Amino acid sequence: MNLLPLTLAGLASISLAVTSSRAADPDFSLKDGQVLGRTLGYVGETTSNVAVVGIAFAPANPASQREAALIQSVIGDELAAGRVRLRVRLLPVEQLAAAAGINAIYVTGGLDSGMSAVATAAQRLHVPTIAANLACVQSGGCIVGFSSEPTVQILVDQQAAEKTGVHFRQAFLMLVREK
Amino acid sequence: MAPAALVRRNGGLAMGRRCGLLVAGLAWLLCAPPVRAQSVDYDGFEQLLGEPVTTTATGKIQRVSEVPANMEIITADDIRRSGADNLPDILQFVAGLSVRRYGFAAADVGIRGYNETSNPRLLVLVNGQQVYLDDIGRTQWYTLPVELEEIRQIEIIKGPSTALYGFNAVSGVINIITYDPLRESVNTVTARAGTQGYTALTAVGTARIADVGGLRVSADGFRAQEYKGTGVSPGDLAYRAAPQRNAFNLDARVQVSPDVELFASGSAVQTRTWEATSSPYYGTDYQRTIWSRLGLSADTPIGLLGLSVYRNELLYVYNGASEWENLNDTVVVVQASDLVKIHADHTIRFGLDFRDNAATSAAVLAGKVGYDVYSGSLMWDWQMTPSLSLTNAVRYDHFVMNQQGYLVPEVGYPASAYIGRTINQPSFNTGLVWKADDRDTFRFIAARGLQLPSIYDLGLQDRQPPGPDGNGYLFLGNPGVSAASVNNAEVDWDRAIPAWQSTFRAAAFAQRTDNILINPYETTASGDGQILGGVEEQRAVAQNVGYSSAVGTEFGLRGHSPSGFRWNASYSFLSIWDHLEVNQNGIYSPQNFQQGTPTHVVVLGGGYTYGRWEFDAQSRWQSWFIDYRANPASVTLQPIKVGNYVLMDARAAYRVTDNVTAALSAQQFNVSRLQVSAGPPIDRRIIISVTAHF
Repeated sequence: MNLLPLTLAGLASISLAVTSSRAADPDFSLKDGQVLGRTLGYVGETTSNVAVVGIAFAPANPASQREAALIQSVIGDELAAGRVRLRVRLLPVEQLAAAAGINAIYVTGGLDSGMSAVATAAQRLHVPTIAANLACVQSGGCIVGFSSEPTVQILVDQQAAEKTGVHFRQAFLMLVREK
Repeated sequence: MAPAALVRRNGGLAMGRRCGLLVAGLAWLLCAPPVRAQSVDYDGFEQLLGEPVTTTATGKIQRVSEVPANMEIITADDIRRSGADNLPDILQFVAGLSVRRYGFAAADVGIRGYNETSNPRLLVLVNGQQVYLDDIGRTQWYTLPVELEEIRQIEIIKGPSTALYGFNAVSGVINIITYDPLRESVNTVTARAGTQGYTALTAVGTARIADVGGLRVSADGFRAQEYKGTGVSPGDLAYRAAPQRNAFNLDARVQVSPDVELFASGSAVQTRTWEATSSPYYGTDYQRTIWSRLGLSADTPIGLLGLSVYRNELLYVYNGASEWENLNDTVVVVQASDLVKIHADHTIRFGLDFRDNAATSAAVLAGKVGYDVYSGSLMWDWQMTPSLSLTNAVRYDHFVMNQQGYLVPEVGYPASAYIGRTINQPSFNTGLVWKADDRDTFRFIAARGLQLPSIYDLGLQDRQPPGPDGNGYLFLGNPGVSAASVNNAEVDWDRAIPAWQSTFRAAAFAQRTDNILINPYETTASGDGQILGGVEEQRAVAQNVGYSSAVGTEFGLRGHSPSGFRWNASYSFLSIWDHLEVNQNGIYSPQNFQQGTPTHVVVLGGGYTYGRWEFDAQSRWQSWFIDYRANPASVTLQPIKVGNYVLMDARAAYRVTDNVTAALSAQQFNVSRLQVSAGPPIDRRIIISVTAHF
């Protein structure tokens, strides 16, 4: 099982190297990584500058796997995003129930029935669910969604955040759209 | 009733209710449940969103592209690349802004016309603290408590913004935002030397205490020789002194909890400048200012609370051919605000301000003149749809005047006219922002702003014995003078042009100023029947002199490319119609806005970064205007036509090491001497600078 992250990272590297069109689907750029990390700097009362994001993916869904691997390859061991040092950990949906030590759950596409496990884990850990697309928030799957091109847009589901026990800095909320 | 956000976001609602609401202010914090987060993280938000953020437009934290105001941002990079060593030289290349330079360290800045010596219509702030001086109503740009190297961004709002800032934000607001010592370190030393015997040294240092405290200390000083003084009367030249400045500034911020931030700042600035005053007679101004501020900001269950107390003290001495005068003006301001997002689409800001202003002078006030202002304001920002937002702000100011001391018998007003005199005025700002698509944003703006009569306008008692012209003069304030009001309507269009990596902005506005104020030194004196030294004394009194209307447009393009090029271009048109009781029948006043404003202004600029090199140039062409020069011997004003001119600045810089940069800049390099006002021609300046970063 420990080989899974390495395998996924390898797959992602290959896919990036072979074809740029593959990189666009799924898509997660370094700028997305910056937005992800910096956004987490305005969540909760984290005293540490390290933010660990659990990337929830469905092992049975190749697209979800690819997306998770891509994100991991973009972030690498650690990405400095302002004062936040962003780290990622791959989380198969089956392992969400036991997940710990994470500051956010990144929701890859195609989780389908795994979304309930994501919500349950987020509520238990009081961490936001987040994805690099606004539709995830619109559909109720995420608390935070963002896009980084052409301009950075962030959408927050504040009601879902409250239910999950997630608090955002109010200054941050002034700058984003709420669902 | 508790704000909705309190109910939604705070598990400690009951505790909050026990403690009361916003009015409790600081006291509330002592009994409140744990609060969260704090002030504006300018750097963090800018990096996150890819554009600067600001609170200057509405009090709400916003992206610059979304503010319901015509706002320009000058960044720290812009400042560095300008090569300028002072703010007016930087501001003169912004569309819609005008700068009249009267001496080496004397310049007045106006927004959308109506510029004059000691311009009273532009409110200038440093981190929200007023640095506008209330005595005559002016900004002494060389006395500001800030160094260029510690400025993060200069935020310029064109048009009235009184509903947020109160009196005097009528033609616009310039809010200078410095780096946050809690989050950003600036450690730099800059040495400059140049023509006019100019030498200057600036140092900025930041100390961080773990992640919970930051202290920035800065100091600077310069010495120089004044421009040649051509055209200035010999009587005025006799009082000329070389300009100089010494300044020391502190800015400390402490995060006392993850949620509450305290800040304190203080500055002492001493300047000596030779300049045209509001009269406009030339003299040397000696100014010592002490600025201090203490405050806190906190993210609480009832919103972002802000509390601030500041004190500005001015000691002013004027020494010129017409007279010697001194004045001490102390302003104390207490501000409390609460900014709360009560719903996904609604944000509200409540504000309460108190201002106490007390000016004392035996020479020109015969005692003490002051006032208190009590103000309440409300801002409501409504995100109507994802692409449409409406912001409304209203404010009400209650002004009460006071006076102590001797009243010149001929003043003509009883003490009761001064004591308890009130001005009660509302003001508003409203703005509709429509993001039509990814590229186009439209703003529809309307506002009413108020210009408060200055201390001199209200309470001056300046008796001058018979002078060179044989006449004695009595310059008087007028406690009955009204606040001037400015109504402004505007439409803006911003368009992103990705193909050119540029942003285009167009603006059209119409404006009317009623009850235009004219200070006692600007009015025409006439005999008052009092015989002094065998001649009849001439009296001049502050008054409201009518109204003035303006229409204007601005077009600007600004961009940069990944290859290192950057460019900016703008054209501004402004036409003014005065309906004033002055400047008729050959009797002049500096309040001639119709002819005193250039109709056309073109700004062109560009730059290129190549490896360790930076090259930048800016140019400004403007059409003619009329300015006024005073003759102290005859006590008369002479209109001077300042012809259209081109002014060019340039800078070349080389990064010698990663920490050291050497630069050569030339101000007005295209011509050795240039008439830019009724003051003496301005000489070309060459400046060499070395900057070390640590």
